[in-house]
Amino acid sequence: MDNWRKNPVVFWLLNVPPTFWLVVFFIVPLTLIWVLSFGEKRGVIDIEITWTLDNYIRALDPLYLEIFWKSIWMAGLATLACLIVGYPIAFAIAFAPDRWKALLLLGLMVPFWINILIRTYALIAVFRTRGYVNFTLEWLWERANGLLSWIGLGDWHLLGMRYEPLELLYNNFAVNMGIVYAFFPFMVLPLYANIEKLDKSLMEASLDLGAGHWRTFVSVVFPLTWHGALSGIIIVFIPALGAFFIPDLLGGTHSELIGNVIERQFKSANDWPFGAALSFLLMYATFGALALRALVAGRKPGLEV
Amino acid sequence: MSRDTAIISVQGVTKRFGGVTAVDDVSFDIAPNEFFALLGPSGCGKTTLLRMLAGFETPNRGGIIIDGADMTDVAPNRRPVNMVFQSYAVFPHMSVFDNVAYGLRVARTSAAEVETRVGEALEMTQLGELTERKPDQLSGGQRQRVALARALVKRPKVLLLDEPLSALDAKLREAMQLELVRLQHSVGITFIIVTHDQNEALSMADRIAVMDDGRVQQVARPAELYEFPNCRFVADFIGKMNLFEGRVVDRRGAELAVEVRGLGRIVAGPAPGEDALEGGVEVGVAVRPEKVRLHRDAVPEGRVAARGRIAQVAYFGGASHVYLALDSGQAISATLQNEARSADPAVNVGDEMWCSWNPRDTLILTR
Amino acid sequence: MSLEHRGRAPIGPLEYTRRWWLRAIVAVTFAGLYAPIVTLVAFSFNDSKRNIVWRGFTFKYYEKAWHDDSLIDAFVNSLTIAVINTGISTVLGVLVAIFLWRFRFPAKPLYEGFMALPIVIPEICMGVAMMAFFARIGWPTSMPWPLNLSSIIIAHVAFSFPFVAVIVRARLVGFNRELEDASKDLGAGEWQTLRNIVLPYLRPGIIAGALIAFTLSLDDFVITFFTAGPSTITLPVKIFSMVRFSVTPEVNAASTVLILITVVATAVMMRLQSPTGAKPPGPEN
Repeated sequence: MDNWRKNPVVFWLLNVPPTFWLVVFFIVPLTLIWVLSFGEKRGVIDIEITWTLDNYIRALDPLYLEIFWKSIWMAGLATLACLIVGYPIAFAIAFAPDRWKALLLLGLMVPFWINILIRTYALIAVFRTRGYVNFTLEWLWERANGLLSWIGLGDWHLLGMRYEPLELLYNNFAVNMGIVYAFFPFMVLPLYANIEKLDKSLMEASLDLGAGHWRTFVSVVFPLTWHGALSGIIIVFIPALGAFFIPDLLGGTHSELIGNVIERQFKSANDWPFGAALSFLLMYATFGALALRALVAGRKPGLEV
Repeated sequence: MSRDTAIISVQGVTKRFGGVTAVDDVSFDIAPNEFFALLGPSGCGKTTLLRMLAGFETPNRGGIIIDGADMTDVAPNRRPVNMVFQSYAVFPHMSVFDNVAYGLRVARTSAAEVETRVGEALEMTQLGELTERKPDQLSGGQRQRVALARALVKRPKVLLLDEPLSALDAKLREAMQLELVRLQHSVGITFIIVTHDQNEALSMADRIAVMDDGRVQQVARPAELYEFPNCRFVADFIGKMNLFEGRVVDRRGAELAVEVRGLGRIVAGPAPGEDALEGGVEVGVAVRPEKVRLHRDAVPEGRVAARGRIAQVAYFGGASHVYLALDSGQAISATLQNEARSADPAVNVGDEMWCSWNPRDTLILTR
Repeated sequence: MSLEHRGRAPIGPLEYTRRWWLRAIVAVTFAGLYAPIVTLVAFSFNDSKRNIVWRGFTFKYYEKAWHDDSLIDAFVNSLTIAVINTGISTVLGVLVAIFLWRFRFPAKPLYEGFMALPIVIPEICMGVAMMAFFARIGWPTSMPWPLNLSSIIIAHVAFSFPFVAVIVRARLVGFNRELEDASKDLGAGEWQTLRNIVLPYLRPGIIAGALIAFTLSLDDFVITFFTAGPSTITLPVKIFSMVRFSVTPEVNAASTVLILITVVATAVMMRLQSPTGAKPPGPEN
């Protein structure tokens, strides 16, 4: 690596275009939003920057705080679900024979390439009253009912008079599943990368010393791969916080998340300063999560991601 | 050694990976308290065999008996066998103490007993000062000793070591060779090492199994392997060897007369393990370089002799390897001990010399 | 004693993927992952306006989509934006990657932190920021096509090129600097070395980065939602409004087309990449 003074021409030539883009088309807009968050509306379009904290105070109103908390809670729950299902999948791929490995990875990636909006929309057909899940459950209900009739308990209607479809859509459950479905591959990839890099002879050593498979996982595999889990958690949790289209498509009237509120401020409600304040609070939450991760990861030096 | 007293009995073990046969119908026994070596070039199947003993691979065919019990299908965590891995596999997130204690804690040993036994193991491997260190703060040699202590603290019946010395530098390697033998004697259990380095095997092991291409070629004590190899592969793999082609001419009782081009008729003992060798059979004729003497003039009676010119001399301080181009066109090498203290070489390139050896030192090889 | 011939090779202790319970988990998960998509594609051929129960096979909704001008416009817009974005983002990404790999300078960690921001920040924050920015500086809103897509393209580039940079940097890590030294030793200058030695080595990374930029752009919804105007709609935004309106098979048809394009484009790019044996790309964080 050279000191920048060694070749200033190359240094600046390489540097200027991307830096320019980053500053003008990213840093400046963000700064603008930050400034706007201290503004007040004056009429339909004009905004005056009065350096007021009113927007932030309003954002910390119990109404919005509750939505904030609900968003964190939902995103957290969905992230946990991704983690619990993701670990076995990452394991399976990491320990698959080579030709299967590529195939499984590909199979995992293909949904990831498909537009996140479309995947969310596809869930509607699965969860609605007359959708996949309910059709399957109804079919099972009919089979079970048939079995009961066959053994003579038909008249007792043990399973009810008819199949009652589950309300799986337009509620918090659907939103949760939506987040899990949308971001699941993001969880598996860093987990997989970490498990793949693990020295398998460490697992063999653990088995050799008498430990069973679960003990080996708990004592050897997890302590050395949880950095991957941490990465996965960050990659799922943060976007999940801001994915307003998921509650929009799949949620009910009480399933609003912070992303929906922000979107409304900038579109229909036209209250940009307030929206800006909310956006920045969301960003602070993001940075908080990242700082937490850096802290936790830094405290326990192990293998890097 | 009868099968009943063997601590490990490998019986007709075969292992295939896809289309490749890594281990091909291997059978041998290992005695208790023996320092045993599996020796062979890379790809000969020795590591696969070791892993089958540890339980990380299961044979496609055949059986493995450990201390009288059939352990062919038994999981690695249930065998009375422990392994020191080639990469040592020391757990990076645990201290030295925790690493060594791991196996005991898994077996739910009481904390007091863990304390005592780990202490003993660390003393035995001279790690007493380093208990709280983490593996990334240790040298390669120290990490290996952690792996050793960790395995030995469980008091296994057999200790397996996969290429234990390959990652160490030359000086450390020598020291560890002596250390491992000393350890084996003091702990009093069977050690099985896998190595591709024949010097290691010869100097450390009580008995060696030489493997090639999935098969065991010969199982014998080091001296036996060196002086009485049963095939060209073993003769060539262990030490240096001068190898010629010859034909059996006559057989008189226990002695064979073999005609070798350029060396004339040699009378030597029979090839090991072969009884029926009649005239006309093609055999390999071999002699170890240190058995070959060089003479400027006359050769004493009763020795195999040939004349030639020195083509190259490789000086190694304590000895020199001398390469002779014989008048008959073949090449032969002789090892000269540099006994006299002199800066001038004993022989020079271009010198005309006779080489000779005792016919009893000739090896007859049929395969 | 088991001397008899075993059939299949026995399962090794670490061959977890051969155990039935793990296989079951994988099967169920993959089924769950693909079922909604398969249903969506299948129902795009459903001859039923309300698209709840299967009534028959038809192509008529594809026809309808084909004749829907606004949908076609949206499609063309999406593609145009994606292509232009890929071009610019790849260039910027490669520049940054080489720059960071090559040079040491004061406040470098700070710079790298800023470079990572677009990757890390929630999309909605960036979306509203871009929207406010373009409104505030009075970015012209009625320009001829394709210039009217410029605001969207600019936003896309801003969040794409850091991703490209990450991927190219990962590739640079494996570069043997001695190759550079050898090139200079033989008389090549700075730029010649970069062009003839470094860039060819980077090719798989550049392709992977370009692929990521293309996919990110084509699929983007949130940021585009905020920077698009009524005359500059992209396909995902159009689909979103169609879904809100009513759920007809036409939506499925449009979605299926987008799926097809994305998958084919990615497959093609991967084919270009596979001679060097690189893994399928994903967002590395």
